[in-house]
Amino acid sequence: MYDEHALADRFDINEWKKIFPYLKPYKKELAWLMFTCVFTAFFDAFFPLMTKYAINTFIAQRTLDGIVAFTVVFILLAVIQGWGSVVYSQKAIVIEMGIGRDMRYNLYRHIQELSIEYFNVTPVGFILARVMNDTNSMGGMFSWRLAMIVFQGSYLIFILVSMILLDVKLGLIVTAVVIVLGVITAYVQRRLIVLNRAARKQNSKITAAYNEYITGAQTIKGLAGEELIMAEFAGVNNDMKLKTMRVRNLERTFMPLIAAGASMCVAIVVSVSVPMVNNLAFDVGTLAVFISYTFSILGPIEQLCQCLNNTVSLQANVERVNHLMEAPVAVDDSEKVKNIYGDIYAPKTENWENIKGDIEFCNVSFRYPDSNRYVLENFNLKIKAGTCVAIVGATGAGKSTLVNLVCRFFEPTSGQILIDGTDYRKRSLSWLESNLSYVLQSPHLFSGTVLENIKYAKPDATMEQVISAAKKAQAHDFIEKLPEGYNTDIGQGGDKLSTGQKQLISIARAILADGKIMVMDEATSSVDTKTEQLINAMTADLLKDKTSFIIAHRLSTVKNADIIILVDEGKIIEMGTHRELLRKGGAYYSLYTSQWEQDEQDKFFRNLENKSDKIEE
Amino acid sequence: MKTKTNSFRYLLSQLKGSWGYIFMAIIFIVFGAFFEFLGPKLIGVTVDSVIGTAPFDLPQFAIDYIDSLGGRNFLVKNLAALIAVFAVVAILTALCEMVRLYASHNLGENLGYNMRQSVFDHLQMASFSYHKSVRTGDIIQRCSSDIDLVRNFVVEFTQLARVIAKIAVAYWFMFGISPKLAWISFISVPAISIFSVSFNKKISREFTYADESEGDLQALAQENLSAPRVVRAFGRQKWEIDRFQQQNQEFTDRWVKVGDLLAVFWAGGDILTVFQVILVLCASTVLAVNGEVTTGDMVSFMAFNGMLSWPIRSLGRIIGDLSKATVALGRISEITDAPLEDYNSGAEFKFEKDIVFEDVHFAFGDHVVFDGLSFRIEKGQTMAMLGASGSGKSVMLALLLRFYKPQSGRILIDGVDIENINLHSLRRNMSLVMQEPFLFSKTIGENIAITDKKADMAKVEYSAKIACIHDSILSFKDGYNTIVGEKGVTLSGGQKQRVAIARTIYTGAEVVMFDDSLSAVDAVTDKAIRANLARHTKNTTCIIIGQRVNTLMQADNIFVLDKGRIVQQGSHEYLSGVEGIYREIVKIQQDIIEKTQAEAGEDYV
Repeated sequence: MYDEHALADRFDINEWKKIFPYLKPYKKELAWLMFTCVFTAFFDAFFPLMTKYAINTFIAQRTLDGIVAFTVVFILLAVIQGWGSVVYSQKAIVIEMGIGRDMRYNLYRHIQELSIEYFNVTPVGFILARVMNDTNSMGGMFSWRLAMIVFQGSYLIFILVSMILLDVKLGLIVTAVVIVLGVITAYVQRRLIVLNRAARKQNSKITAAYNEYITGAQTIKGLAGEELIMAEFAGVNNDMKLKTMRVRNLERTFMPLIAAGASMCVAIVVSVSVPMVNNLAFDVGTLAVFISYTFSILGPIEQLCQCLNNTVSLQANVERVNHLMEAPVAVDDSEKVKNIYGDIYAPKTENWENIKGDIEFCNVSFRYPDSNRYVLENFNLKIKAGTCVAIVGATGAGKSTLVNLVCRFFEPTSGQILIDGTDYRKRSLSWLESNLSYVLQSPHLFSGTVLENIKYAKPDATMEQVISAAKKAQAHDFIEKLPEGYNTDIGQGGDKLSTGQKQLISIARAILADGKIMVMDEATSSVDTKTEQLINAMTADLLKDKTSFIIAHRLSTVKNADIIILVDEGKIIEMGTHRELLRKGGAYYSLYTSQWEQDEQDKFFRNLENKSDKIEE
Repeated sequence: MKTKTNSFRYLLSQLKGSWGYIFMAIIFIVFGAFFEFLGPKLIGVTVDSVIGTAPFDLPQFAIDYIDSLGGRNFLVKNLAALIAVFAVVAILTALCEMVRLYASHNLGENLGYNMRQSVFDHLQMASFSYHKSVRTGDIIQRCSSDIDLVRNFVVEFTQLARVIAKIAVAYWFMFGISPKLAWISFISVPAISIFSVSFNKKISREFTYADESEGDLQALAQENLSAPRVVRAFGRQKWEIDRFQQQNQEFTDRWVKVGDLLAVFWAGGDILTVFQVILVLCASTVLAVNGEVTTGDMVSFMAFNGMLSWPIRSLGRIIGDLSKATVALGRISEITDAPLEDYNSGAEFKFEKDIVFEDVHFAFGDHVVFDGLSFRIEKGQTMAMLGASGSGKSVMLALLLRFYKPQSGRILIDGVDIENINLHSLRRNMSLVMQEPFLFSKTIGENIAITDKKADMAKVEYSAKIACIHDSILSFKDGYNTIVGEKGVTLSGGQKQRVAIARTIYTGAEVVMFDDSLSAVDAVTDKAIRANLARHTKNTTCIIIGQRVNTLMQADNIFVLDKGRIVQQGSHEYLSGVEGIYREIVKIQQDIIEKTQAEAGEDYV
């Protein structure tokens, strides 16, 4: 889905049309930009005519009369052109950044509405590249690059017209050469882009190889496989060199030739003009203008071709942005529901029913959208309000599925999930979200203060409510000890705190949310033992009066749950109370005893150590 | 200071074999510049002496040659000859440029290849503890963008040489034509360079701010994108959007500010360039009117001026890149300074009798792991080690593989200290299966045969069968060609462990070590794998470390590790019968079975 599909080299205007609305707000700036482009290009084409004037007026007539005025005029013209280029750059940056900002905003807004499914199958890096890089290149396209095309294009036209006006024959010769050079350059650069893309692809292979073999260094060492791996990398590395060299070969063969072509243009101009000047059909001043024009003709040709080619290559970026912009919202409220309950921007909370907390799975079948395999088939389960459901199993066994469905991160493929007896799709997502309290395995805090992070659950909470939630989560004490208490900045992703502290804050956040449905998703699996014990001790209290789902790896923490569901390879393999499952003597039984043994054995060794410590004392 | 010489020495070592290209590049830079600027010079001569009638301002041999052809008249009548001269110059310029590019491209790509390979190889050969001490992300950045920076810089450096050569050659011609005019034109070189350098300095601070605000925006988006569940579970989408927009605006404003500055500076550069044109034009006009220079000289000068404006303006940027490249080079050579493991010396691995730990002491800093660890494993035995989690069982295996070195004491194989055994051959013959094995993003078949250049499929399948993973592999659509990892199938923990076991069996190692590596495999498969292994490994020595008695009880010899020493040793039967830790643990296990049954209810049978 997120494949960097080998997007077309063809130019599809329909994709671009979707971008055009972003230009609208900058009509005035664009007009200014285009004007200054043409304006400064005109001056650049005009300046060589000043040389002609100097040669024909002063030198040919051997007089310095008027040279001061001439100089003053020239300086004035230069300053005016300078003003033009200031305006040019200023308008360009405003357009570039403005379009980028507007696109980023719209993309981001759409992304917030997308459902979890999208995030499950799309790497964060991919989305990030769309939001940051592609929007930047769109902005750059409609400002600098567009300006460059107009500037170089009009400059080229001005000098060709000027030459034709000065001398039709010579002017046409030069025009012909320019066209030939332009075609060759365009072709070469087109090829360069293709080759460059291949080189870049190879480059990402290099990075991937580094990543893989540094992460797996211990394994390779253990297997004494270094030499093979090094040889393998040498292959990738050599491919990289070859692919880059392919780009370079083309560059160095054609670029100097094109430059030579442009020099030949000069040669032709000079040679052809010699007899003309001698016949007085042509003056030296005009010759100087021609020379100066032909000397500066190569730059615009190269730039113009490069800009046009790059524009075509932008097709891929345009398509990717449109693709994300049009990514369907898999889980969304129907129009009818939106009318009654409102959407995320304008929720109609006055119409929201109070929740009791009964949840029922009715003939639910489910498969993840990116898979063909059903993980639930005609599943039925009634969960009364206040019930605690534990879902256990190994890492990667698919424990999150039920919770994903309850939270409506995904919807059943068929069947219904009823909350308080009503299909939850008949109420709004926001309504359900407002009744959820969620604690994840990795705490996921946001940059900002402790207070802001706890209040994330309930922006209008009072300080008392926040403190009380923090106290319940056993977080208050350590928060108070932070340099600025609740106002301490916790850094990006909360990095200034330990994982345990972050988890306690995320629990406080969930407590403050006070949802009727509470989810604890492996809340203890990434924290230290002390925090784990803290959390385990408070869990029963937290879950009081709530319909709760605990996803856990350790069984000791869930044995008091009302329903325990054991999951393996995505499917439910056992379900019942702790006692029922033990009686069954199956997978749950062996998992439970082995974990218990492990705990007891560790305890035993620890005791042994303590005892001997005492003896030593 | 030391690192600076080190990084320079590193760069020199990577340039080995490229000196020819450097030499070649420099020579052709000079030639290229000469031919490039010969063009305008010839135009001037043409204007004065072919169009006009002044004597040729050329070296004597050229004048003699023209005279032998018939002088000015010949050229006026034979335009083709004139075009041919220009064509030859243009082609020579192009050829020089091609050769120069050939040399500098080869230089750059060879350097890039060498650096990438040397860093990669070094990382492969670097010690285990080095790998434990670095962050992968940081290393990868050094390997990719820093290497690119240095490579580009070395290529740029030839660019600097080119700019300097161009300026020098152009002024050589110009001073040859008219020293006065050349001086006037030369004033602008320092002026424009200084302007450009100071501009780079001034703008860099605003650039940093803008870059930072971009980083902030990216970080904010990343935070949000990596926690979509939190955002949705708390229904905070709208708030997130507003927050993003605020930073988005800040980012936009910062860059617009940079842009405004740039606009002024660029325009300043443009104006300075035009001023130089004005200066040269007016000065040459005055000199021409006074008869000090010719019209042709003036035309040449205007052309030189136009051709020089780009090289002069790029001087400032190239100088700015220099400091960046130095930093990058330092960061790369930090990697290549890391200590290497010695793969060459030492005797071949030979194992006939036993492995002995002799009073081994080992500590991580203050934390003592082994305090006189001694034991002996006989060839062909299955040895198991029991101990608390964190008691150093895995460290024992790491010591055996020489990932770490004991602080004192020895580890002997057939009486030979493993320090004296060739590292490569040691690790080839002693294979470790980790609890959370690492599989590579290759096919399952390639993963099993990772130690082989070309996979022997029969052997791969045999190994997979022993590890009880053959059937699971066949159930995948692509069988053994199924790709594992991010781009392919995600294997469960148990499947990964079994693939890793197959990988170890494939190596045919004489000693196989299991680091709790059947923990994610269910009981039935666990038993089957053990039975297979027992059949396969008759001659193989097995070391199993684990936490649970049932995973260890079949071993010939069980060691109980406590506080860094072996406190008990013997078979399961023996140890269950004598007072001690092992019996306690067996008892705990039995207790738990009873207690579990009690939990299940009295009527449980």
